[in-house]
Amino acid sequence: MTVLDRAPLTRGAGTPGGAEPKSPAGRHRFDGWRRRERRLAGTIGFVALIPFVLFALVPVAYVVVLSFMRYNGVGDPTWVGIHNYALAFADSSWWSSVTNTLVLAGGSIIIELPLALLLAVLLNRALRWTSGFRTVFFLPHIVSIAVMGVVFFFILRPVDGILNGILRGMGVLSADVDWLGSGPTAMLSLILVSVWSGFGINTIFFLVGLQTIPHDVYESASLDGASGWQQFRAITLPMLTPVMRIVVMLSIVFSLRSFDLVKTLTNGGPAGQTDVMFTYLFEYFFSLQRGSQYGYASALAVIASVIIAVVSIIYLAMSRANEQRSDFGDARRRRREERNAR
Amino acid sequence: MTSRTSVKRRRAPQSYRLRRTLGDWATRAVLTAVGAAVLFPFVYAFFASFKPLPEILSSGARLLPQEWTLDNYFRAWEQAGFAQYFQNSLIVVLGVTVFDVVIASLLGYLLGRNLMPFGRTIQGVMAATLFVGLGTATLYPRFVIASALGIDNLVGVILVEVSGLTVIHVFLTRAFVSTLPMELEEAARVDGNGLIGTYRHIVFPLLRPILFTVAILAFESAWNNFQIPYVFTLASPELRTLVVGVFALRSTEDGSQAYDLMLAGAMLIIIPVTIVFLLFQKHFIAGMTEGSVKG
Repeated sequence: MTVLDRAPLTRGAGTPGGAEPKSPAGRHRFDGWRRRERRLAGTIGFVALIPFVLFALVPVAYVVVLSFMRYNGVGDPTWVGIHNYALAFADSSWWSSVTNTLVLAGGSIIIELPLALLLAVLLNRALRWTSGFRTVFFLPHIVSIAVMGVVFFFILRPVDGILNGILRGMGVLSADVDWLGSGPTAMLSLILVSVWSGFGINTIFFLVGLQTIPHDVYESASLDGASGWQQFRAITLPMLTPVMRIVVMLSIVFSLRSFDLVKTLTNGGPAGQTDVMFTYLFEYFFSLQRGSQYGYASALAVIASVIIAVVSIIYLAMSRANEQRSDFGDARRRRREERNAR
Repeated sequence: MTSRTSVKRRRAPQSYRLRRTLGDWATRAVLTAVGAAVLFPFVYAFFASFKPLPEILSSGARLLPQEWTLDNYFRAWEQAGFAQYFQNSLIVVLGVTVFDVVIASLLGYLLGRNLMPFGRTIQGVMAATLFVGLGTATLYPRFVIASALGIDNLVGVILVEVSGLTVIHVFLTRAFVSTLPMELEEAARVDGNGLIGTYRHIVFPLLRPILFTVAILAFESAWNNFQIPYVFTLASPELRTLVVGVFALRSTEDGSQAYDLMLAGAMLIIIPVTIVFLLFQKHFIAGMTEGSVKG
């Protein structure tokens, strides 16, 4: 890198022919110029970094420090050590919202990934008039999930609501269901809406992955008489492993961070039964009833971030371990055998 | 009648073709069903936004309005403050896009060509914040810092939103910079351009494709953002963006009264972003998939 970026500067340093300045004087002139330029670049760069430092870096440190304080926004914060953390560990509503977060994340990933994989395989067949579906599937991802939360709030209305009307019309339901009125159905609604909004981008990820698998692998497999399902198990799945890891990782992180959808669709209701980590701690920061307990809220924020990090690391470790023994090696061996047999 | 072998030879491809055709139609059926499920809320909300309120509340599963009206839109725009919200959204989107593109192009170039002191360290710190995960956890200090600086208004909203986009967009730009040939920059240096001249005349124009993608992503993010403007406007409703305005209608105690305005407001958000998406689909999909892989 340094060699590369020195090259243009050397040529710019008063030697129009592009030859290396050999004399000591030339070197000197070049060094001064280079230092001045680096200072200029540094100044510009640090100015450009101001928003990031001020509103992304400093707040992280701020939350960590505040988590050891008691502070209600008036007067000075007082140091209370790990008191807030101790409170959090005893706060059963907090842990039930942690559980809700895991249920929401797990539930939506379990539905979303197989669906996205199926759709990607179907799209990959590249039939006529199916390419437009990619656009349709991606659409939920570019529309504000907060607004869609409000729209689904309307669609799920219990009395004369749209979904109830349709399901009753089809004879699936005999009476109106108050979807957001009970804990389990509200959670189910959240899971289905987050699947609705998230499967499209995962379909695209899988599709990109599928398109990198060379055709001749499938060709030789079908020459050997492998059925479609066998090809899927022995070729498609193993070769999608790297994409799969990214998709699962992103899905876990994104769904553990859920806030917008929960806030706008159920607002944690009924009675906190669908509160997730971030809607719960948001209340301690900003709401009128529980709000302004900034120290406690910060401790919860730190715990939430640690939980997300831990879950991600566990998943990464598991998928590494899995890879070592998995059918990926199996498929490779089988393919080698196939080749040898021919 | 031909010989047995030739019959066999003809029949095998036929059954194969039959299975294939069946498979094709099954594929289309599944895709269509999922596509319909995806579009269903958009379509229903769209048509419902043209119904008068009593019909919205009583019509259940009826898709098309019995009585078409634009009244919801007029009242949302004039009485419910959506003219103001729309203007606020435009200001935020414009500010975020401009700042984000300038920052991404500058830092992407400086870091990509390793022109800055501590370049490596800076990139390491930026990458680390992706793991920490900003967002809801740090909303409060972000607001406090903005208040302390006297920018707890749309300026603050813009800068806070930019701060969240910087990392991924700088990395996208930096990756693009490293694919550019050095020769053009070298030539500009030979012609006597300094750092700024080279950036303005050579690098910035070359970066246009990736910066367009960055701008699209910034637009989408700023137009749709909920948390940041929500927290910044808790105490000042006149600064609400469209998304916050729609949510405010849902969360009032008498929320059942305002479905008409809520749906009209939702359409004011959904329709523009959908149009932009349909026009620049490739940029959206490429930017979002690459961006999230790096993110």
